Amino acid sequence: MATTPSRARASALPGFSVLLDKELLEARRSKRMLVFLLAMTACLVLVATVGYLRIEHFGAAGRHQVSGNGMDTMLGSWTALVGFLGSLMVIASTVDAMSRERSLGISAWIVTKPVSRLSYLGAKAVAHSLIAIAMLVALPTAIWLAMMLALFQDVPLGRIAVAALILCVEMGFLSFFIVALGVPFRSVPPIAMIGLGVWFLPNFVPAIESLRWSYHLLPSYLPLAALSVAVADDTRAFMYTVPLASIGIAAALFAAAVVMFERQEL
Amino acid sequence: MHRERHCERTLRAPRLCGEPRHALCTEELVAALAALALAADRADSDPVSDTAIRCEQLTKSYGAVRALDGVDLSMPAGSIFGFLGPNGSGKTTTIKILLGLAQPTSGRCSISGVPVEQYHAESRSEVGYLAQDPSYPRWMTGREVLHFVGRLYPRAATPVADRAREALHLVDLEGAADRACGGYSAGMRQRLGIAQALMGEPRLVVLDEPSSSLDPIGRRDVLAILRTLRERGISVFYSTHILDDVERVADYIAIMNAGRVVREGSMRELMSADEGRFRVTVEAPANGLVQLLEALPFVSRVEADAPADDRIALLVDVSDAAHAKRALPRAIVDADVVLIGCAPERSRLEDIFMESVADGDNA
Repeated sequence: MATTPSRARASALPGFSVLLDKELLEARRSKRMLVFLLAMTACLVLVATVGYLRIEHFGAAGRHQVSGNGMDTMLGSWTALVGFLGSLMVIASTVDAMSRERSLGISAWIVTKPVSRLSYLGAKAVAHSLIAIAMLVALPTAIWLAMMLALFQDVPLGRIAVAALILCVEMGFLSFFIVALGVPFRSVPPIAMIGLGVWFLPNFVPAIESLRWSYHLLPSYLPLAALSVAVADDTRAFMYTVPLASIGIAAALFAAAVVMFERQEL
Repeated sequence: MHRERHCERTLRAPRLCGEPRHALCTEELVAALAALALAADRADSDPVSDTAIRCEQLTKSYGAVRALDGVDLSMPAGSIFGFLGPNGSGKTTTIKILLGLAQPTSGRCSISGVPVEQYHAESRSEVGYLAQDPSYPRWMTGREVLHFVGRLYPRAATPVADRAREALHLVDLEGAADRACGGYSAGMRQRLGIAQALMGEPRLVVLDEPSSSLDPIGRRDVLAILRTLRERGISVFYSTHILDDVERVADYIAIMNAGRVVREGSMRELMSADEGRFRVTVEAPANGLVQLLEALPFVSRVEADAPADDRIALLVDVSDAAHAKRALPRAIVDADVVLIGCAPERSRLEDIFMESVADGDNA
């Protein structure tokens, strides 16, 4: 709809909603995200199916009782698939978000319009986060959960909800982080290498005694935090510190990227 | 009927003809632009600087390389300004600074009197821009590109869909509007680029090589569009290598070389007739004509220009132009030579350009 001059007013993020719509429309038309959605959903359906097939003694009820270990295995498989496979998928889908448009001159074209560079970067990061959450967490998990509730008794809905929330934080962190990397690096290889490195290298931290404190803060431990929430009854501090620290780190990295982008020649 | 046939025969877009003598074409063209050209309306209500663009001592360095070396530039509002220069002369760098895509090392630059550094995001609706080699998201259709751009200008008075329709009509892309622009030819992308540059109803349009990828008909259409924009009070800053196009439409030009403006002024001044030189064209053979002309008291020099088939062209320098206008043709006719033309020699933009660039190189 057109906005008449009298209705128009200054915006803190001029053009943000239009740019967000553009990114979301692009994602809806992207075959890559559809493939990722189907792959993730298929994997999770397989988890529930295998869990069902491993039941040795079926009761008379419509839904079946599984042992604690059996349920934990399925919950662990869910968090591992969404947390680790999902992280690879979100990196793959976001890695060229900036570089492609910059190399084609589309970024320069857009920022000559009445939009701020913060809006441009912000819309990209928010859109990729929303898409990753919807396509890699929400939709596949909803289908998996529907199967779980249909097949099994005592599905821990509360713990799954909290774990899913942590996985959403993970998708958001990775989206903001990879989009931010697109500011200093103009081509895909360094963005991919740094993104994967930052995500997977801290897995060696537990082997280094003096660095173990860091897994209370490092975003790489988000999948582990989600796993712990899903399968463990006891509460551990890092289940909460890691998501909060991740949000803070993502905000700081993104702010630095915005400052750099404001000064960059396009 | 005759007018419509003319348009259909000669142009891809009948409405883009723009020939003043074809009232129907002009009316349609004006109607197509009515929604886009709000700059004139704004000019009635807003205090507007009479200078669309001004650059003062603008410099830009990339390490040891000095891309701009004290550029001074002034573009009057409401004009078409041809921005010329060889590759690497600093044209695109200047445009980038004007659009806020690059920061100058020193110097100042303003648009409509407002310094570029104070040009915040929302004020950019004043300026429409077409890049040298425009690219758009390949998955978007031409119409979606225009809707996307149109929505970025919430202050525009006309609804986005209307603006997009008029812009597509203007650049003759209606037939391809719903095709993905990934499949557009370079010329179509250029046309779409002009359309999107007008979506914000700008006061100033900056076009970087707008006709470089177009065929002759497309180029003519672009020139017609530029003239119409000027009629509507929109300033057009137009960077190009095609000197003939500039000669046909520009009111003012600036020639860049090695990061400096080496020539700037109105086309009328620069292209003004050289009162002391006449171009004489006669039918061959014209034995003894050169000697005859050299013997005339008001002729100081005669120089043969490039001959063509059955014609001879001479450049005649005279001391008294007013007298030469009458006496020179008479002397030629009296010598029993068939006179085809005799007129004061006008400067050609190509000569001015080559001379300016050579002077700049020597400086």
